[in-house]
Amino acid sequence: MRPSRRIVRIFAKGNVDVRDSLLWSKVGGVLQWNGINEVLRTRHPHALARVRHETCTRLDLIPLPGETPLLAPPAEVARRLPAKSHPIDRQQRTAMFDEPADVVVLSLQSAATNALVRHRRDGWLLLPDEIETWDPELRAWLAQECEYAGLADIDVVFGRLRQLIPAIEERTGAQVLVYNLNPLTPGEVTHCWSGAEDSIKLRVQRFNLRLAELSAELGFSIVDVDRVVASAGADHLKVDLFHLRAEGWRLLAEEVVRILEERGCLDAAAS
Amino acid sequence: MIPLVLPALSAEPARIRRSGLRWRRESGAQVRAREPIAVCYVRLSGVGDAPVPLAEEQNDLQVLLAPQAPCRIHRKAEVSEGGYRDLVDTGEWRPGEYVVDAESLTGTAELLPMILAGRRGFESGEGRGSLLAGWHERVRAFWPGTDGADRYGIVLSLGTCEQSAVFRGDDTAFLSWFARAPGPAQLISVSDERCVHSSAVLLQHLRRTPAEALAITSAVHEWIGQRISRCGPESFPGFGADAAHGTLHGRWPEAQEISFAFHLLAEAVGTSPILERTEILTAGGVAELPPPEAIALTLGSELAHHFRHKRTGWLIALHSFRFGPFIGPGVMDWLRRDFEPVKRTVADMRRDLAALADEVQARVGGTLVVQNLIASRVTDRVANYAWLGDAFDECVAVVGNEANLMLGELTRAHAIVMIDSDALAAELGVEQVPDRFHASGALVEAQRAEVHRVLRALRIPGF
Repeated sequence: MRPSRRIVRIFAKGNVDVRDSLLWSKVGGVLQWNGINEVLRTRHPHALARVRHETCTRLDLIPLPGETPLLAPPAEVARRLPAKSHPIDRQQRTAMFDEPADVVVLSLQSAATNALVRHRRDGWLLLPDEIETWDPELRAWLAQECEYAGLADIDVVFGRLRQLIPAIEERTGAQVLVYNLNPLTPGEVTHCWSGAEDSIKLRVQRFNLRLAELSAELGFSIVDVDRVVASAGADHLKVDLFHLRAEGWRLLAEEVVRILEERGCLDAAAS
Repeated sequence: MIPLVLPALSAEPARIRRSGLRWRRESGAQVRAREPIAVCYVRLSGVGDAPVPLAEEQNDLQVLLAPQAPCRIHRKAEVSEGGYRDLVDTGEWRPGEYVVDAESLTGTAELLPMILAGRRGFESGEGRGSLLAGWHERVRAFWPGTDGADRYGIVLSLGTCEQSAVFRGDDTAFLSWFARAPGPAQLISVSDERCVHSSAVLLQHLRRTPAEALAITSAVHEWIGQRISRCGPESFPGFGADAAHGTLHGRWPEAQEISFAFHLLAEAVGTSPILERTEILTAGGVAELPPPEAIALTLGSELAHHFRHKRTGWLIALHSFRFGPFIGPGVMDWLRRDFEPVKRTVADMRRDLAALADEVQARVGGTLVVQNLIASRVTDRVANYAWLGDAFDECVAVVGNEANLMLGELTRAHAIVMIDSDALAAELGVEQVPDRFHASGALVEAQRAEVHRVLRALRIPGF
């Protein structure tokens, strides 16, 4: 009798790193990497990942179950501004708690690198996604109404993660995996930060270290993007700070599968 | 065919004598600009009662000779006599002496000298033959500039083995720097076989007083005395009855223990290499150079085992791999009895590096050039840090990243720049350095190029 297929439900809340490694990666409309099921097909032929992906404006803005986002832009603003990869009405919402999942995947990328704007009067926050494609009129409106709110405070981010991860585990019963970030931008080597405000490299290193500390405290798994990229070589794998080549996405998907194996998520599907 | 000649070098009023030339390239070989084609030993003499310049390096003073532009060389047979005639001084250094022919050379016929000077740990310890052969407590290389500049850039390397690879190179004689740095420049390397040069050790050395040096000397003397006084007839197995007709016992067993302690002392109570001035040979005579303006360190030194002498406060740092194969049980007993281990956190490293940078800047105007740690390793896969339990704080992936972050942040406010070996290894792939320290040729070259870039950014002349 043919064994039944094990479905692994993955809720992936993140941006290019989780989407391109777990779902698919396309460049110029051409498929480069076809996601985690490519790995499962070889290593666990009776398992299939069903990945639901949701972009992440910033980790610290993900609401806990029952929490109403207080800093979300009003509906009329959401309607007025363009909806790109981060639709404004969903920037501070999530479907993560709405359905059962075996695995929830998060990523540090949004928290480490996404800068927001704040409404000058009302204080709501938004990510002006792909602003370079907006109409000049809307850009002018945004400049008039909002001010730069900067990057997330590291303590705020990890304070939220400390609440969020147990909430996910409790509400959905899922294993939580969090992607860290490789801080390298190919070709960039810095020897001195004197006079520099902050650097994305140092910031990412700080976030990665805090994530390791939180993993030690809470016991969730880290998808060590930093180590995976360093092992194979950033020159070879990276396009820029965020984007990997197909080989890189494959290595990350393999790392996720290894963690799922360690966590027993694929046990029922062992061939 | 252009006759290439010996360059002008002078030690007036001392004389420079040289050995025969030992060739490094075959006759007919096409050589690159600044590629050494021959080497000889030199020795200074004839200054009457006055001290001989470069006195501590007389026994291992070598001059490498290179054409200043690419050419094909044809050796002149009589300038190399072979055997020991090419190892000991046999004649005068004569500037302008014709030694080799060059084909298709454009440019000057005067060969460019690179002078190597090794200060032996034990003066009688002969190790002649190849470039900077033997064990030296300090080695250096200096060479003049080709554009008339006369201010030497001086760089001191005090780091661990991963830095020796960058500075001394595969040839152990700094040739890769001679090839790339136009000069005038001097590179100095003090190795860490005796004591590892962590920031804490260096800082204490810089601040040491004569009274403290005396106390350390007394402590070592006392321990050596105890070792010797404990000796009985059985301590000399080479003379035992069973050795009368042949024995495998060779070295006196005490020798290495005492020797190690003595060398540890000699470094601790000698001048800090950060403050030490140097003499060089130039075309115009012997010149005295100031202390180094760039001091290269490695974060790896900070991770060495530190021990503080209980009575004197003397701090030493030793690599763990030296215990056993290099440092015998007697020294280990001494460490257990008279020293206490010092556990250093990343915060301690930060404090000591910052203080060292400030002190170096204030006293000699130098900058610390610190190579960071290669934190990632292919095999160190930790997905869930909770599984580490109490080992979390000592996990290399954590400590390494924490230390690297600390170093990056220190560069904001102190005279410290960072060589980001971690980034270079990650760019090429950390398989280039499977154990985090001993890198492949490709990675070492990338690190060397980065050090060179940074020295130029710091405006160290000659680089």
